[in-house]
Amino acid sequence: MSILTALSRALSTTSRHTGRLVAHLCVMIIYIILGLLVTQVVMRYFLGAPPSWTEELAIILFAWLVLLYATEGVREGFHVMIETIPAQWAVLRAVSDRIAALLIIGFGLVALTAGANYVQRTAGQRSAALQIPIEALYLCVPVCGALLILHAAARLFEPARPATTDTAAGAA
Amino acid sequence: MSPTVLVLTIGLPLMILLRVPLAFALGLSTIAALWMADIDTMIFAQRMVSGTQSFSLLAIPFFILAGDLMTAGGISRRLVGFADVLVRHRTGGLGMVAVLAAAFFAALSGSAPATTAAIGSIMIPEMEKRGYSRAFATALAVAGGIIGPMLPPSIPMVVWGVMSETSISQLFLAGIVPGLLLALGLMVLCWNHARRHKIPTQPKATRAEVWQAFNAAKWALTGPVVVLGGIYGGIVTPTEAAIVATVFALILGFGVYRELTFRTIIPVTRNSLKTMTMVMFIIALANGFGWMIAFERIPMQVTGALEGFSDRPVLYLLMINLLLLVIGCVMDNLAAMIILASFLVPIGAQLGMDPVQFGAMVAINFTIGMATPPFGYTIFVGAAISGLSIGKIARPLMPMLGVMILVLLLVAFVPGVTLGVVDLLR
Repeated sequence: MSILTALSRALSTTSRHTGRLVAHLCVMIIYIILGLLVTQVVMRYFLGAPPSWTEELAIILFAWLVLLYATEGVREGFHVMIETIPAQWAVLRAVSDRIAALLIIGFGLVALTAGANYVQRTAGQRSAALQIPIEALYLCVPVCGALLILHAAARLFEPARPATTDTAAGAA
Repeated sequence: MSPTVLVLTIGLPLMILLRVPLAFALGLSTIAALWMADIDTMIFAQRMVSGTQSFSLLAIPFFILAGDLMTAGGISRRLVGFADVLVRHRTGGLGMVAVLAAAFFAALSGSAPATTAAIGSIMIPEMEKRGYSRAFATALAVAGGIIGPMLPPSIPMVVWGVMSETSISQLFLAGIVPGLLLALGLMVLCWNHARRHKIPTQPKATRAEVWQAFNAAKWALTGPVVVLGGIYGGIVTPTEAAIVATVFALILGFGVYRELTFRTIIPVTRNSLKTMTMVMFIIALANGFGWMIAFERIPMQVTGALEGFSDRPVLYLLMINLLLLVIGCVMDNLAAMIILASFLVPIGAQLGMDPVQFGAMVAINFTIGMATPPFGYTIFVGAAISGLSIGKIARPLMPMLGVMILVLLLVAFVPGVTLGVVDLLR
């Protein structure tokens, strides 16, 4: 087994396991946010005094949720894109898949480094209501960057994916 | 044109053509522009997070989750059942059922593709069985989906409210009449289609059937009352209303209809997370892109160029609508709103329009783009459900798009269409 194959296998296994972990974590996060906001509504409606911290914690978790699950989007390939190359042009598609993966790695590198710099720059600040270190919020950027690099690198070595109606996905 | 502007305007479409996902294309062109302008990329990291840091935007994941839970929990099927006994006996009745059910569902969901998915999966096969062409049925589900973000709640209106600092509750209200007008227009098209193609009508439902269908759907029908009543009763904010809708869907799915189980809830939630992330990640990255566009003073140049038209308001308003329709067709609707907000808001002021009316106009403009390729998520959902090509759906969809544009013109030129309901409750 060549070093390259070994590397690609290791990458793909790590990507798969991390991806699963992140997905489970995100399912938990969304229900935690739900719980926080239910608490907020109930306390305001029934006790007339909403807690000051639920909203803040909810939007911090929201940033984590979006940036973490976005990395899962690279692994599963669900981000919105336009199919510009017909399915039968397999070679061209494979090339464009690699270019896209490389560009996402580049994006991940910037998120990782610029995010880490920003975390350092803002270190020492605290959140308004909870008074927790602001790193708890901004750390999601470098983490997102690192995970993007992992998943996009794993895709670099993967065989080309079949054409799907990925563009069909969308929400609002 | 400065090199930075060139990177922003050429780099983005180029990457999209290379099949780079939209969110990353937005992010990468922002990064490139920051480098060109010699600005620290830390700004990029900061904007990416701040793009998500709005309590109002938290409404989006929960309106999506609520919609998915309702579909999985059997709510949309009951809404269709109730719509069925109400209008099926009329000419074009089954088509009207689809439209009416879409309107019911729209009052619980703020998303066009979700509405198309919920109604289309039930109604397309049913309509085909009763004599409609599959293409017409699919086009109707696609057009019906557009009612989703017009009737409150509405994801595009949440986003526009956040971007333009307009009241989200009032924007929601402004969408009610346009949403109902679209539903009415689509029903007229159904009637006309059935008459021309001599599609047989269904027998009128008996009183017992109506009662039975109402009984099955009564809890589902209280959803909109709870959600909208909560917002306009001043009890909850739109975000909290989304929470209430989610809890409501969980209670109905688990406790009343018993169609949700702990086993099914995980895949349903993951599906919602997927949809939510697609939307929110684009929002987060469009935020930086929009900042860069504003930094380069592109909005001022565009508004300046348009200023000459401001003494001919009718022409100006028509031009703006045409421009927005075209942009809505070639661009993702939420990304377009975020990127363009900084120059659309001053245009609204130039036109002397009420911000709520203007906001509704912008949101509806971009929402129509969801029924046209390449970012027509709604038409893609329709195509996926029916297995038809976009081309086949496009033909019957044309008159329906015509109805949407008619509604849009009413919204743009008759303030009462949007502001009537707002003033009633203001």
